[in-house]
Amino acid sequence: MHTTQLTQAKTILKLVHLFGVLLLTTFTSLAFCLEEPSVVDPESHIKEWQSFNINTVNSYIIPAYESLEKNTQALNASVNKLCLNSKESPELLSQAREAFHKTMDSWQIIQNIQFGPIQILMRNYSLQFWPDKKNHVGKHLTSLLETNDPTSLSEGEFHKASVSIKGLPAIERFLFDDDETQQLLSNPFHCQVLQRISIYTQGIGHDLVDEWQEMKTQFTDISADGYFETQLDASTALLKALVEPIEVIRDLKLLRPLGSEFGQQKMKRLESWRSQRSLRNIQMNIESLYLLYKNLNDIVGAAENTLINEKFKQTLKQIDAMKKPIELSIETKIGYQEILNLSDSLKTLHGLLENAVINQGIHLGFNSRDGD
Amino acid sequence: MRKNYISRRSFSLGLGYSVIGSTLGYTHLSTMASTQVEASNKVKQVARYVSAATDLANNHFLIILDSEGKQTSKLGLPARAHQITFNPQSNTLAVAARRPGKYLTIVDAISGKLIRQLEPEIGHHFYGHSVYSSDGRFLYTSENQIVSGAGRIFERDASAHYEVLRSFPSYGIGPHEIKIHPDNTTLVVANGGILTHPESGRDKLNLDTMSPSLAYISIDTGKLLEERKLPTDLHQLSIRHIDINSNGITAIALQYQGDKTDNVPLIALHRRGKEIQMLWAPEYVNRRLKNYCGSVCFNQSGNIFAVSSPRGNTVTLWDTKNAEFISNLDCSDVCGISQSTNNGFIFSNGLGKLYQFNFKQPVLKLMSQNSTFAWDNHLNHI
Repeated sequence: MHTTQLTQAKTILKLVHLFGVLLLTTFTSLAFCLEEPSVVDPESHIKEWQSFNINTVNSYIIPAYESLEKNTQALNASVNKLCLNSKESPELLSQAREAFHKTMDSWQIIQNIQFGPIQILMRNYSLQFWPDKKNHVGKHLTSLLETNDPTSLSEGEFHKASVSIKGLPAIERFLFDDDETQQLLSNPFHCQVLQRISIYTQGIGHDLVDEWQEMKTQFTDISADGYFETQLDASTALLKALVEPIEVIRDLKLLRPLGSEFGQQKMKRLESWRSQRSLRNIQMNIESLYLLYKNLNDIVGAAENTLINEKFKQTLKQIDAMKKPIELSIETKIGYQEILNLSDSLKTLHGLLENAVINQGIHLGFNSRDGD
Repeated sequence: MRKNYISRRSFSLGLGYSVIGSTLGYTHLSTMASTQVEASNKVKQVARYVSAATDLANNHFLIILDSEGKQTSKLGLPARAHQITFNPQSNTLAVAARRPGKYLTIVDAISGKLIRQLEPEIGHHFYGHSVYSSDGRFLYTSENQIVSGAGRIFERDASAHYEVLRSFPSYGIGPHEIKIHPDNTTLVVANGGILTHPESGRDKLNLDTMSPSLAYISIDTGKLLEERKLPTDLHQLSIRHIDINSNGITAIALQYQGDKTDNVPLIALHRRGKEIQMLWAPEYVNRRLKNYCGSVCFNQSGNIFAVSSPRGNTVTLWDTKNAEFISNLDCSDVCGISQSTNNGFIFSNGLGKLYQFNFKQPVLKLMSQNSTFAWDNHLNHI
């Protein structure tokens, strides 16, 4: 009895001890988790930021624009083939559609860069006028097509046309809208308009690559009169291109089509509903942001870095597992919920990235983010 | 091509001015900018500047700067402040807390030391803006009567410990910036139109029904003299920040609460007795403003005004007389604008930088930087 009691007492003591250790461990790890990571002075890591800038330009931005240029060329060639041989249309139409997909893929990959050459002459809006709440693309395209006047397609005249019809959403209508595709194959002027837009798009692709050769030097020759005043200004511009697009994707590409609740969804608010590739756009966006993020692997603290890497991977897996196309699944409760879940993941990812940047002592914006 | 994006902090002329030819255009603008509307010149030759600021650890301060933008004093504040008003008669500053603001701090403009800290009357909060009467005797603040959500203007006696003397309606919801009209008898109030309640923080509670207004109120009687609203389809444009020149023309910087993707005018002008005149920047600039303007300021002559767009990282410059866009200058996170000598402007940003600009040398010139601070919404000269 006595021995048993002693054993029991020892066991209890051991348990208490173990519990204590566990409790202590828990508190320690909690304290570790809750501890505010100290903010780093970015000037003390200026060399790392400098190489982040140069790597990002050379290995991320420029190759992406080169790929966009290549794909706009291929799209233009494919459209020309289709328009010259419209009788053999089924095969050529599907080739042109494929070329459109590749171009849209490459645009989605670099859509996050909203500074430098893309901002000049409204090229960003020209390449993709979206969202188009007031159907500018439809209205302006219809009025151009109704002129049936090839002189309106001269370089000078087309330059004056609405920015909404100069890029991918207009091309998408020609290639994926059944009525418009019929017209395209039977009405030569429709094909001429499509060709004009494809040439214009190819021109933008070319100019972006060309001008980035010059823009690139702005990341190495930093000066008070240059595009960036300091290395950190350049880093901030690149970090904005990493963090801010996630909010845009959430707000415009997911939450806006979803509406306030199930039943209020509006499929036609999805980014590329005609070609049923709206989810693929988001996949391209996130893959691209992940690629950009990888340039920060050596800068962001280890624990944060692991969390962010995991979140990127999990989000991409989540996209993989979603029912496709979302243009159809958005109309179902399960599909609707999947889109909502993706939006939640992006919210978490955005928060993680935002914190990581703050912890590196970089301000993405003060007045721009919380003004009054 | 190079000039377009490489030298983005330099000034390029808008369509209406480029026809003059760039050199002549600059001269023309420089002359126009310096043409005095009135002989009176409120900016001293050697001005100083004041702004609220926040540091990396999220502490808030009032910072006074010398004419070169160097810090001369720093005073800790209990929460984020918004705009600061200068009383040249008594050399004091009034610092109103950002909405829903709980303090009004009076500071010695020379030493930067605290004189007194005031609280709003029970059941009210500040909106971050105040203005002294032209003789410096009274301080007016825009406030929210929390229970009713109605905007109120409070008058405090600057010569008697800032005791509240009276209050009158702002004739709208969410009064924000207030200015004294050059007739010295009228208060100009930007009623933002947005209903908020301290219990729901900064949440906007009436976006569908908001109806912002520009109100001209008699200081003597507290009665409404003139009220202007925006066209019905633009009722979600919050009339937030205003400035008034010596001719009594009000420039308005707007913030749009509707769909993010809408393209709406974000700047306006008002002349007494007329409708509000909406101004458009060229589309490629207008879209860049991201439906948000942070502050507005006339230059000394009142012939030109500047509007900041922190979300668009740019400042737009406007010709008052012709009510048209002149140009825009790129500057990251820019928000505060103050008059400067030479009929130019000083701009402040969230990256702790101050820039100067005048039409004689049309380029943004870095004046000072303090990487530990983010300069908050407004910059004022003292």
